[in-house]
Amino acid sequence: MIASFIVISSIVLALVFTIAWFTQPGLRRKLEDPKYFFQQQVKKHNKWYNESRNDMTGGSDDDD
Amino acid sequence: MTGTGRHVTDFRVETQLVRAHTFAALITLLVAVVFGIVVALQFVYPDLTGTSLTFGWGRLRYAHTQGIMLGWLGNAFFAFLYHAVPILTGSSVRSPRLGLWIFGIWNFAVMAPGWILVLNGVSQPLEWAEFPLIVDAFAALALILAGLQFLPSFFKTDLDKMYVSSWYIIGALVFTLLAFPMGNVAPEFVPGAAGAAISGLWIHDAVGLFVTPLALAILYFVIPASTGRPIYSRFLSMLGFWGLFFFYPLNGTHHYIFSVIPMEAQFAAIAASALLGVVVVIVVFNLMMSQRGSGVFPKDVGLRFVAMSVIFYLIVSVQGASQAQMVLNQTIHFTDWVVAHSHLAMMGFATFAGIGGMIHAWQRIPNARYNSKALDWGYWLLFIGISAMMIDLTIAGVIQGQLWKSNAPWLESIRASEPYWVIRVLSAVPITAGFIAVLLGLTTGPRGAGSAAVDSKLIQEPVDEVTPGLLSGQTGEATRGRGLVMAYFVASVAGVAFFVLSVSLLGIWPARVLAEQTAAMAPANPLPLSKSEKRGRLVYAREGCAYCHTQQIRYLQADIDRFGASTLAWETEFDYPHLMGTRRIGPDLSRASATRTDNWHFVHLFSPRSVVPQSIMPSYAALFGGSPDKPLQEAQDLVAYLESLGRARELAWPEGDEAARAAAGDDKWAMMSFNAPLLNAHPARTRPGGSPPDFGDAASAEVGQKLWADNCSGCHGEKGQGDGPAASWLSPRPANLTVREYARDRVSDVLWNGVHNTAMPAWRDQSPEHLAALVDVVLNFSVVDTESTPPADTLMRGKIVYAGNCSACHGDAGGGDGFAAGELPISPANFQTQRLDLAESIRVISNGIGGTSMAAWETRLNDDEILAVAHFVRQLFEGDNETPRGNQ
Repeated sequence: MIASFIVISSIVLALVFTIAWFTQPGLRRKLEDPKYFFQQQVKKHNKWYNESRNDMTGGSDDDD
Repeated sequence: MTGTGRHVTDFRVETQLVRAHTFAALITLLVAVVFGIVVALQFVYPDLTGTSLTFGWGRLRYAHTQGIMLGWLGNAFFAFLYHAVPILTGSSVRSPRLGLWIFGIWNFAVMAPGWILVLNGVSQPLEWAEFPLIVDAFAALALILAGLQFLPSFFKTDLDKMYVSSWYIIGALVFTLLAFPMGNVAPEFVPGAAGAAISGLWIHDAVGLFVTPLALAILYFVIPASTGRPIYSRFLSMLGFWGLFFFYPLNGTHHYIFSVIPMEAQFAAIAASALLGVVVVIVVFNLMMSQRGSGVFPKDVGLRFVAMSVIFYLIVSVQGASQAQMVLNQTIHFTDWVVAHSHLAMMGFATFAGIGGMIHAWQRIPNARYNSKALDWGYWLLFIGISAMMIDLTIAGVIQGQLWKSNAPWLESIRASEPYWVIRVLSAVPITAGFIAVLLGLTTGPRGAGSAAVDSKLIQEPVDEVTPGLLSGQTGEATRGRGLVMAYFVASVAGVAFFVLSVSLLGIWPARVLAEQTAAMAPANPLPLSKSEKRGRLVYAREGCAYCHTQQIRYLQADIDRFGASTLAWETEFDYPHLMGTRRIGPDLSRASATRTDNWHFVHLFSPRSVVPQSIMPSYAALFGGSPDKPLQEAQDLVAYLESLGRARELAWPEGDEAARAAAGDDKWAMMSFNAPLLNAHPARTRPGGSPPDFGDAASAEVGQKLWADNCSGCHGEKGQGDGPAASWLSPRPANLTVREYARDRVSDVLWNGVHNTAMPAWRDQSPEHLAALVDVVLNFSVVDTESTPPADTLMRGKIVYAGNCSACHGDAGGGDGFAAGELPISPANFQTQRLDLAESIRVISNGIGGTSMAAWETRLNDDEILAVAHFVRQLFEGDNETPRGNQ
């Protein structure tokens, strides 16, 4: 009985997710947005790193 | 230094804390690996650490697993969090000072004292929870502080900026805090099988709610950060996130398949395990698609570690889903297959993720030393070493499982495993070298050399290459304020509900069912453990005995045939915490009671290979005052505890079992236990004697000699002279077979039934042809003069002396069946089926036999009388022709 509950509830959850994904374009975009935000954050940090390195080595900071 | 951005960042990466946790991670890793290597070596050289309890197998095993999970992975994850959380959230962690506190507590209030205490015998016998409760309290405190350090940054972040790594980090920090106390504390207060159900939850939660989420946070972070491309699908990543947090906690009971834990809970765990495998395939597909174009072995070594971690994750998860299924589980459970699986999870998947995350962070610490060549070497050495270990132990596990399902003697599985255990030790060479190379990679080399990986990204992708809507202000607003609060509220409720569901279904509900079963099936007043037995249980737990010997006979025919009736719930009701075990290196001990003598146990604990030449059990000579006949209190307590195992059921048998059977109703699993042909099927258990079966044709003489060397020489000596390494410690001493002549049936009887109440066990696990070969070996040792004929008057005198002094025990006709025989713990000799050399006979009559009721007669009989009775009993021997089968 518990096993059936687990299987059925997981199928229902997966279906809800999937149907929402296909029928809600707004949700789709919302769901994917954070990965782009993350890329932006990474690039910011990489840039900061590059600046810090240049500061330490006395090099120029052309990227800025 | 701290990473305060000048123009482009408004957050700070605490690089000092990244460095501190990275070094702590690698140092604790190397220490934990050394513990693991010594543990692995002890399979090959059981006496490697001498008689030291501090560095005994069990304590090192405890220290190894806690070191890997908390010391290595814990620190590696913290190092990664200090790098990742500010980037993920755009805000700094709460406080560098708080970070120092967390670092200090984790390493100097958890790891260092944890190891010291465990090695000094203060521990818990629970998988992944071996540190004592006082240390667990500090670990919980550090986890709370870690929550305060990292979580506020996430709660300040807009929901539509919450990348999947953020969710995994939140999940790990919150749910580890819930699961850790449950797994460490609850089994101390919930008895036996019910405690094991909770313990099983933690075993899986430790991996599923602590290690896996943080490892996946690293994978989802490093892959897009290294490739410069967003992940393939955040939708799939979130589907995976919720799937993992739903299914992982529901897996716990799959560590106890076929146990007494209610089958309904087991089936639930089996189903959840299969579904978890499906979710992992989705996660891995997403991660692999996110790496596309980077190649199987990316040039960036951090990314390369992470890419291999993804592959290991797929393998270990598919393996886990498969091995939870009953058809496979019944063969591979308790074997080295599972050890391979856990190493692949912790040393493959999680370790590669941890190293990948550390390297990625390290590359981005300005002016940090970086040696890419060493890291390259580290990658390949670890890949080779861990792959070799995994393949090796997986094969070993299949072999062990097959042998256990057969009727082969237990030691055959030990012998068959030995080459694989050697390979495992050898695999430690590249693994250790690999870890040292990683350490060198992060501590040597030019400063700032890790920048190459970062430079390429800077060149390829300018910062303002942004994605749809993100910087245009279209997103974010909708999920701020009430929306954000609502989203976190729903997510929190759902997450906590998943956890509560797992604890309810697989912890609380089984405990109730088991309590009901215990109430219905237990005898009215089952004998509890005595004080000595309780103390012995603590020694058993402290020395890690449960990590080699299970105390659960599963509901499987193979287990029932080998060990006896399956373990019922009530049999574990005094176990706080449970000692059911998850690995069988030695045999199950559920029915150890009344199987061996105390004397045998003492010798076996003091010098295992003296009585079992091929045993790999460590010596516990430290529990003795120099020899087995001088057991210290702890040795006496431990043997008392061993003798208590299975006793309650034995005492209840068969009447108690009949009452329990009535209470079981139509529970087909319980019926398996009640219908077991033998309550205690241990092949070495002695019986008073009886009819041995006809062994038939013997195996070859060479086989017989090998069997003798492997099984008998420890006590009887290589040449049967009763002078094996254990002989002087055993009471009565093992027989000198060269001065004895036996009827074939007498030898068969002894091999089949043992000699009751002595150290001579039965050998019912040996095949008939092997037993027949052993009979031949024993008979061939004899050099007794069979031709001597004493004078008639000597015989007459001997007959008179015998009748007056010996017949009460040995019987009128020397059949060992005198009227007093039944009262003696060890049956008197049957002179019809055995004959001693004359000199030996005189020696025995004169000096008696220590450890038996045979007294020394030299003070009561004169020399002539002793000679006469020696002659007399010798001529009672009837040999093979006259000896009836089944002389008792």
